[in-house]
Amino acid sequence: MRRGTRSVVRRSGLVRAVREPLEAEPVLERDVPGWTLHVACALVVAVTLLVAWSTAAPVAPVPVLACVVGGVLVAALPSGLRVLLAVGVVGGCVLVGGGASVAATLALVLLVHLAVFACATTTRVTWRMRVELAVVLDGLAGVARVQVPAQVLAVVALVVAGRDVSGDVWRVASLVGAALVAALVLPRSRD
Amino acid sequence: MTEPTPAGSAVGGDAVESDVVRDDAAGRVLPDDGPAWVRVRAATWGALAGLAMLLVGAWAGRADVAVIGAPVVVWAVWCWTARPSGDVVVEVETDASTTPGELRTAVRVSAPAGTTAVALGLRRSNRTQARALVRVRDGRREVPFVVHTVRTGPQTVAEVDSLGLGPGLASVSEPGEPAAGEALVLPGVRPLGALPLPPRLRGLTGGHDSRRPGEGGGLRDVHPYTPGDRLRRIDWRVTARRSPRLRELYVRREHALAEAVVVLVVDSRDEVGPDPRTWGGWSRPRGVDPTSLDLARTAAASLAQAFLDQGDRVGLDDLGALRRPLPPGGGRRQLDRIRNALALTRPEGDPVRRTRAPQLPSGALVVVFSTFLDDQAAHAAAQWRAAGHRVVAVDVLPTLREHLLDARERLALQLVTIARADRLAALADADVELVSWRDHPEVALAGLARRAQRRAGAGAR
Repeated sequence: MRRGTRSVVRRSGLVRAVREPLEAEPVLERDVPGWTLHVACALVVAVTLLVAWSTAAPVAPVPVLACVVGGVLVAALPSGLRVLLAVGVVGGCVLVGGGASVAATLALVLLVHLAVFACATTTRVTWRMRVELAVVLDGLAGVARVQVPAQVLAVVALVVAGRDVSGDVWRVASLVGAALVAALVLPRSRD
Repeated sequence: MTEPTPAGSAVGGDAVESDVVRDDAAGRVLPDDGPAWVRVRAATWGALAGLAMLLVGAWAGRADVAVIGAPVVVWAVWCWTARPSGDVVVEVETDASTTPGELRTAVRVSAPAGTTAVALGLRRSNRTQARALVRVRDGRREVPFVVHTVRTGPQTVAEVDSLGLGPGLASVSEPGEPAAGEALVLPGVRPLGALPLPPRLRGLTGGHDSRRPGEGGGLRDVHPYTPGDRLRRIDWRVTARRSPRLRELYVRREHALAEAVVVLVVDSRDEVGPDPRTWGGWSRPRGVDPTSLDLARTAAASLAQAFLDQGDRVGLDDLGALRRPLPPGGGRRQLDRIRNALALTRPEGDPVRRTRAPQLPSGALVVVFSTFLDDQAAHAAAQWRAAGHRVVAVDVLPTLREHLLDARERLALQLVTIARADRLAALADADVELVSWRDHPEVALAGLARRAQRRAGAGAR
């Protein structure tokens, strides 16, 4: 190793970070590394943006790439303004689109909520942090408890607004059913 | 890839906005049960965006836009109305004293009702070792953790930072007071073989043969019976061979048993690790690296146990402290006393400068544990040798890691190493026997023991 490289490596602390084993480590129950939550957050945000985009314009490689980049940016450095921007983009796409399908609307009801929850979670989680799965499941249970009436309310609102939900009845039923099952099952995971 | 530091890290994150006005002049009264938890900024902005979608959808008559934003608003309001208030308290439970290797201890978390999770940050040696987000049920949680260390002596097992998280992880507490757990880690011991002995042995009991006549030791000679000899000492075979008509009786005479007196002298004035860059004190040696004092403690404890197992008397003195030495003694309790005293030995304040080596019991074997990075320990060892003691110098400088040093640091280390080599050579010239604890000390000690086995109890050359 050349002198300059060695000096840079030594001063950057990279060698320390890579070689040094941890001196103290907690013993947790069913934990996942923090980076998996960041990846999950990126996926949720990217899918949310993609679904929102699909309501306004046809899906093409460039928008898909933009959605992925947006999801990665929000998940890598979650902050309030980035979350505001992502949700704002979703609202803008739906507003400009001039009427999303019932299935897309119900999916966005769930995805936007999940994205905000995921961003709120990842602001507390560093990449190396170990997170007990029960913490995430408790949070998802809270999301599911809100989603069950929200999905039903969304269907009612769309019907009142004059949308025809007969073509999407199975999709609607499956989304509401999934939210209901999640609300019932996730709290039981505590025991 | 470097680890990003989110604005809301585990401890002390700033990505929050407080809804508590802490200005007393404004007439606001803070809650009595502790500081109110603050909202997470990501949830706040997400809820505001949802509220905006709800309003825009209602204004534009777009139900699809309105229903997308509504659940986030409801969820955020529900989470914030259920957020707890009060402080999160953490305690670190440790044993009073333990042995190096794997220390098992626990963090006990007490949080106000409604807390769903607590973010813990474990720090050790001024470095964050691990972060964890753990679930809290009924306001209590005990999280066990394992500390891997080879360090001995008094030490902080771990410092723990904490941060409470409310329902939905949408609210967060103020950072809790850091908690620390202290423990006294006793030095471990390693098995040793044959050991050198002092030039003179003491007493009429012990584990070694004395040069004096007595009982219990090996055969000294066969001697004609004289008044006072015990009848059971008569050797009938020798008598039958030398005096067939039994005109004279012969008795077997034995050596007496004796014990050795050993004084262990630890040089606690400095504590250096294997990385010379830490010698300046700017950074601490890693927990997985034994320092010179850790090696000295282990070496002294190992020798103390080996000598005490032989029935010898062992004492302890410290070159770095002006206090009464632990007088030589025997038995299991003496070993416990020595291990405890060794664990408490550490550099204290400015190094003590002695004008004269401490006085030791006459005829004792002196074992000096030092890095010999300065002249003090070497001078003391030479003085003891000149006074007639048999002196063994144990070099406890760890194996150095030089591959990360730059040119100037290498040059400085070379100068120190040269001066140290000269010092050790001078010690050898002064008839002080040298043993390095870095590489197979049991072999070197056995070699010293063999050199002293020319006759019983003779250790000095």
